[in-house]
Amino acid sequence: MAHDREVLRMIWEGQIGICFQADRDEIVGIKPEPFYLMISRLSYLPLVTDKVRKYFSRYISAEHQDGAVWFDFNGTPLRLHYPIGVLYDLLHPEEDSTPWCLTIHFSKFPEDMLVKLNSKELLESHYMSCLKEADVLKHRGLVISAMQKKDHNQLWLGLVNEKFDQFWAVNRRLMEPYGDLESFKNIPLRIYTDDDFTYTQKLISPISVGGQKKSLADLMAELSTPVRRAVGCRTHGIDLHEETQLQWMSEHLSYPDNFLHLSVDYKDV
Amino acid sequence: MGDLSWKDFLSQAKQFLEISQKLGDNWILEQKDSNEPNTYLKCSQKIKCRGGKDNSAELVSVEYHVVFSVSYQVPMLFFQAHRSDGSLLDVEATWRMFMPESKASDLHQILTQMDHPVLFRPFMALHPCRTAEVLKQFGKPSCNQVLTFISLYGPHVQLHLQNAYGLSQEYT
Repeated sequence: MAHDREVLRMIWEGQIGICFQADRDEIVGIKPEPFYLMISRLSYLPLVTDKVRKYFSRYISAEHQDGAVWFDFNGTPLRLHYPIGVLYDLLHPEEDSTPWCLTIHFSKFPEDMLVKLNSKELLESHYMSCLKEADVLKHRGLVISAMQKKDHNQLWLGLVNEKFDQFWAVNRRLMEPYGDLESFKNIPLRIYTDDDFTYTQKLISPISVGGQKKSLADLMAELSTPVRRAVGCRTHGIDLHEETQLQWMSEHLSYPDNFLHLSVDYKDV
Repeated sequence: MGDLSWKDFLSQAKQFLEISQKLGDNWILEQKDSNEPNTYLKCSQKIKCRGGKDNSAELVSVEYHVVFSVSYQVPMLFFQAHRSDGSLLDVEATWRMFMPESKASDLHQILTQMDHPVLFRPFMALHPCRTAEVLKQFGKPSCNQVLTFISLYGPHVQLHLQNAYGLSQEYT
């Protein structure tokens, strides 16, 4: 539907204002001015921060020039393989509308906490493995495995170059139920409840036992236990209405890795 | 997608553990909590590897975890390798030490660093895309897919089970 395409477009164009600042322990000489940038919610920090790295690398010592770059927010290292919108929604206080202040580092990469993604190839490999995982959940992996290498490349390049039409020309096939089915087999989901980046995965069918299309309310019921009730859910920075259908959410509110990254609020009963 | 449910994984992991204990092997079952997939098999070993940048032999401590994949419904093999000085082997060093014959472009789809699904810390992992297919290729269905999985996938990353595991008649 035309209206739904507008939703895809708005999701695609979501941006976050970020203020990058230097790690004062790494600076040699004069402290550099912060670097402000509008960044796509759907992308990954390593893909969009070349300019930032070049800017700050002029202020650090020669020995750290080739160090693995990483970022933190208030002391929390940021996962380079999580979409930027997911990191922001988990960490940035909702009531604060100022730019998100991140610190860039060129040394002391926290190897015990962060997956190191030194090259674009490693990040691409991670992205492709997410797509495969999502497709295994949706279509038993049949759609992604039927694609050619050039289709995979087009998805990746569409994301890297922020080209909506290029990306969706291929992603459309991943977002349709297979054959004559009406829905996906399972919904690719990652459910976050804390700000520590851990998530839960469950096999969630978009169709109820009685054959009805499940809504977000049904998902929250499945996630609830006798002691803890799921009461709210957000993604892409918006609160979702509980009557929204899961199949529709998966088709329209997923990130380019084809996962719904949902933050769920719980209340103790 | 595999056909191993979480409950099946748990019961087969426990069976595997029993065999390990009988054989005096050193596998243990780690349980973070009772939620899926927060129980996994773990073992450690030291191996001598050639593959440093100067191709010298090096003693490396490896910790292996067999974790259930919710999405793929199969076991997955994760590991972390540390040098004797405690430093973690990075991706390139791990590739050189564990899969020296493979091409870099292939390795991006075979063995990469990713978050451990229970611990959410970086571990090397063999990609699970074809595990279900491989496990199904056995003419007779495996009575313990966890054992079959470790037997098949472990050797690719220097994890070898004693032959005696295969002689436990009630489980194979």
